[in-house]
Amino acid sequence: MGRIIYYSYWGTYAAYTMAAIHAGIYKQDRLPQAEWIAAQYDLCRRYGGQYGNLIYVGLDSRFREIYSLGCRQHSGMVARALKHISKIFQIEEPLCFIDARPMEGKIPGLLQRCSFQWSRTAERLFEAWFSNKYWACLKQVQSAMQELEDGNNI
Amino acid sequence: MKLFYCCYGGAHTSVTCASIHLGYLPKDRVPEAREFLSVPFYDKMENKELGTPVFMGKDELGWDVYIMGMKNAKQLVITSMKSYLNACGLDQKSFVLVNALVELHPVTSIGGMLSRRLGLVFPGRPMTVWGIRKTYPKFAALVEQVKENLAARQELS
Repeated sequence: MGRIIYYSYWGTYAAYTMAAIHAGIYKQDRLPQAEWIAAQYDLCRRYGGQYGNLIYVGLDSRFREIYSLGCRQHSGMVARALKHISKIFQIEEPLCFIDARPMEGKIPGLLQRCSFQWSRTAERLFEAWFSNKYWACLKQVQSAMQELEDGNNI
Repeated sequence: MKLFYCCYGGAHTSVTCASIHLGYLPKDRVPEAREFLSVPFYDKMENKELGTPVFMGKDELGWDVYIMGMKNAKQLVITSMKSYLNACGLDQKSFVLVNALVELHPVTSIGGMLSRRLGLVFPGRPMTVWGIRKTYPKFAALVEQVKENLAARQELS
């Protein structure tokens, strides 16, 4: 039991992708189907600009709750705040943060800010970003899961 | 029940408000400069500790009073705290967050930046004290209002 939070500048791009892989929503042996990618694009379109709200993704095989979180450039401060809040409110389930920032790249920022936002071009760009980053995200998740298995505090 | 006074650096205005709240500083007069310097955690929070709630004491109503620095990401940190506590199934009524950045005197901001960001405790620290003394009645009024609200809350529950 416990909670695992994948965090990045945006909460719906690399952080969500990694969280979805961890929770088993995205399979580890192949790219998700086109409709799943389109659904994540829709999530980005609707909630990409939100920061600070935990997005519940699912449960992993050990029944830990998996979340994604967008924290802009303040991830260190947010992680410290939540860890201390846990202690203050005596929340006993362990809380673990996994950094998804290195997986993000420049495209999410472009998609969130540019004038062609949410056009057909943007969707194609998102799909290209997703296909390009998916395997790197998968590798990162596998390594994080291994560290969690080994009992390391990430 | 937890009460968090939040400000930019968690070193001056939130500490002042929490100190008035807990009686470390008077609410009916402007304290002398040396009284500020004897307050725990005044001008002490390091940049790398921002986001960490620091326990200041327990008030007469039984609320635990904390201070917290959130830089310019107050909205983000508060949202994530509320979202997390909500995910943990905690009642939102068990904590209160108060913005302690009320009409900050520009000298306090400059002094705070000198002391905390650039490490120039002198003249930074005396400047923060000077600035806070200028707007002290506003901090006292804020704390008074917070205490009234907490008392009303307690009566209702």
